[in-house]
Amino acid sequence: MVSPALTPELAERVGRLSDEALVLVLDAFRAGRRAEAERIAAELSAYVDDLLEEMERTAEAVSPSLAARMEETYRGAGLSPVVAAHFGHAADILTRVRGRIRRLVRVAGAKAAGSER
Amino acid sequence: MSSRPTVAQVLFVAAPSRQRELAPHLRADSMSVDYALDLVTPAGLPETLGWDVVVIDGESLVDARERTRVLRIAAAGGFVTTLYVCSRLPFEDEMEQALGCADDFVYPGWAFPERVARRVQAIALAPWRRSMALRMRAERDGDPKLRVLSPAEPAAAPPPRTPMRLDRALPFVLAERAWRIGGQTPELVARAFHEGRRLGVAAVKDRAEQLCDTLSDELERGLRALSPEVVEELERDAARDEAFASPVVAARYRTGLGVLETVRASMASLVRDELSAIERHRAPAEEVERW
Repeated sequence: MVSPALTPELAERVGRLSDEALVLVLDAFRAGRRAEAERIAAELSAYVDDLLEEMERTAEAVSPSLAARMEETYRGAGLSPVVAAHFGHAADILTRVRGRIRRLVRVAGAKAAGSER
Repeated sequence: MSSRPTVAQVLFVAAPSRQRELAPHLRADSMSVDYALDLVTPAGLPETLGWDVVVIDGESLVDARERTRVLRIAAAGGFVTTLYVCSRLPFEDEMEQALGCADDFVYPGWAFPERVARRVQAIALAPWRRSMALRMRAERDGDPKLRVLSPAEPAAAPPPRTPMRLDRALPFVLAERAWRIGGQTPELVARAFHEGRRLGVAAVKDRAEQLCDTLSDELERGLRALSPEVVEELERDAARDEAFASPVVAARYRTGLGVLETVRASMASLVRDELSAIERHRAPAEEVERW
């Protein structure tokens, strides 16, 4: 068996190649996998940096009136506003990170389809 | 037209009869790449040259005035390499002009078309050969990044955070090796690269989503098991932070910071694991089943 991670169609075609060509095809497969894993990781890391910057900017710019409105919003959750802010904001960040991951994968899929055409 | 990749642009300036005589010889021989050849008559030579190499046929130039004009245009081309092909009986003034304005010249005589072709090939493909030699050496020595800047250069600016278009391209060294083998190999190598990309995305996406699920579960468990002591501790910590307008803003900020730091560290760790699995030629079992 050539490589369990290749699609069956490609694996069958690759199986008929010379040793030199086979090594090259598997190198290309690994290079593609590594390139995309590194790219997605870099994009996610950049997104986390953006979120941190945004959070710092927002926190510094909160006026007493905005802070009062925030407290009012979190008070509606039936918990202490501080506890609601703690859990609510954590869940919000996780939702945003998850959304970015899905968007990155969608864009990567569209680009891969485009570059193969 | 050659199906090989084109790595240089060559312009041949000659009269139509000389174009018919010499142009068929002007192609990269026994190479996996080729150069593009454009033909133009001396009268039709544009004032601005966008080619890598300009080959001027001296035999096609009707007089010294035309020779001067053509050589001056070529010399003004900046980084264009000019090769002058001498006429059948070059006079002293022609040789002086060629020496003064062209980078190199070819004398007439034995095996003339072949010598012209070899000289053009050597000049046109020299940058590509140099670049391939550097890349091959870097690959052989295991150097992951090829450094072409001299140490005297000022420190490079940090790389842009948005990956460049080349990140999605098949590495040049692999493409070149595939072209050398020929047959179906270039196409199979390109397909394998794309399949690798798809698996790379799928693997990182699955693990990153798994990480978000784990963190969400932890949050829910924390919320369900919320004791009065924990509430008191959270409120006390938030109230102690005087940098913010209110304890709620402080709680939001501290929580956000904590979650993002956790996400960043976990992402770095999962990508390290993924890259290490790639180096070991091993895919996790669930990905193998899918592919």
